Amino acid sequence: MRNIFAFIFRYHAFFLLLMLETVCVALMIQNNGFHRAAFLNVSDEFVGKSYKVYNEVTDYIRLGEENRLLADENSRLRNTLPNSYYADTSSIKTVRDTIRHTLYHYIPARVIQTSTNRLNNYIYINKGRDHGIKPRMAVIGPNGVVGIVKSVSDHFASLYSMLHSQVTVSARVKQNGSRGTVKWDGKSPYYVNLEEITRQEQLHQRDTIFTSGVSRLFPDNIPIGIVESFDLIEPGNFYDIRVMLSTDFKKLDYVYVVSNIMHEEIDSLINRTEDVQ
Amino acid sequence: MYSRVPGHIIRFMLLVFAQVMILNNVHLHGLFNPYIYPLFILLLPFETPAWFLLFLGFFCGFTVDLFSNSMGMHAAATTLLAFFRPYMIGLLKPAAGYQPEDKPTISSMGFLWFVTYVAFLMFIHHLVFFMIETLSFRQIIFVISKIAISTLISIALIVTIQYLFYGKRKRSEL
Repeated sequence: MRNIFAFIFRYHAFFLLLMLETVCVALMIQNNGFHRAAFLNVSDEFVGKSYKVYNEVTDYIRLGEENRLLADENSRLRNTLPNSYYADTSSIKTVRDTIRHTLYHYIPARVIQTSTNRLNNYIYINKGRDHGIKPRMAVIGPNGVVGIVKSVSDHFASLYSMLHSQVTVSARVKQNGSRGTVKWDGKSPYYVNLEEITRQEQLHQRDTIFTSGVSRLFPDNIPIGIVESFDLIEPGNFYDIRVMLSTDFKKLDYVYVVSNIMHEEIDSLINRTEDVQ
Repeated sequence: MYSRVPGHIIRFMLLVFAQVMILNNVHLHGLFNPYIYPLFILLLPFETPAWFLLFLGFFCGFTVDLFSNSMGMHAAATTLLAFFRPYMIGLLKPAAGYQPEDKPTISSMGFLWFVTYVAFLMFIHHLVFFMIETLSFRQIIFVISKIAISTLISIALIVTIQYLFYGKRKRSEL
């Protein structure tokens, strides 16, 4: 027995190393899932506050660029307003929203911290549980898809960026409507890969890629990017398509968190259907 | 001895701040990720006990992890770096042994000693960190070049920091 203690004491540094590395591995595994332990939310809140202070300082530098982007978006939205169309017939067909249900709510938020240089990138935003944000909500920017909410604290939320090796988004090619999956390969923050498009489809360069709405997270028709290049992997049935992202993740500032009101209803329906099978 | 403790704490805070707020925002084709915060562990006094080094390594990495949402990855790499530090110091021992007033800095131990010391330990740190981050051999060439380039840049940054902040004081004493 004494020998065992003497042995442990002699190599105490090594045993301590093993112990600490085990803690590290446990932390990594725990952090991998969609949900994180409650105690880490406290640190999220602290980290969020630190980044917020830092951002308030650096915001002024990019004010001009942000104003231009917001103005662009405003003009685009204004174009969709009914009163920006010229009515050339006497019978005006007005879309009455009272007969439709709202399906999506958009919660505006600001990015307080983001990275693009790692294999798994995350984004922090300045809205959280108090503003109605929940894990697994979709996030879009002025130019298109941004990411998915990972975890929320009271006033902040962390997102899986589109530039994350585990994030996949169901996508649709504009011209022929074929559906595939968009994934990041971990290299350039300007490009993603579109997979699962079969060789029968006709593709064109500079064709736009939208979200398909199949994923239930993202609304339909949110732009992802444009086709930069494509070739067939021989021998194989699928295209290898490189898509240039429409969102510049390095300059990301204002985003919208999309809350799907019927998300739970659809989810429970799908769960019930799959249970029966 | 007591008077040096606040200095180490301030250095720790400055390095983590510089790492998280400045260097984590440096991007170049995803190839270029320098990490300088391990300098805190590298500059601790020679007589720091091994177990304390390990705890500090873990704590230091964990703090950076909190800010980069990479739970456990920096902590694992920095703990391993702290584990290898005493062995590296042993390997590099000068013929006359270490003097009581020696510190693991460029001004105290000289350029060659310091660069060898930093290069080996930073290589271990970057190797472990980037391997954990990828966790596969699919893009092995990309990861190897990422490790090599980032290690070189980190070493260059650390040596520059040494000359900027610690070089002058010693020279005026000489």
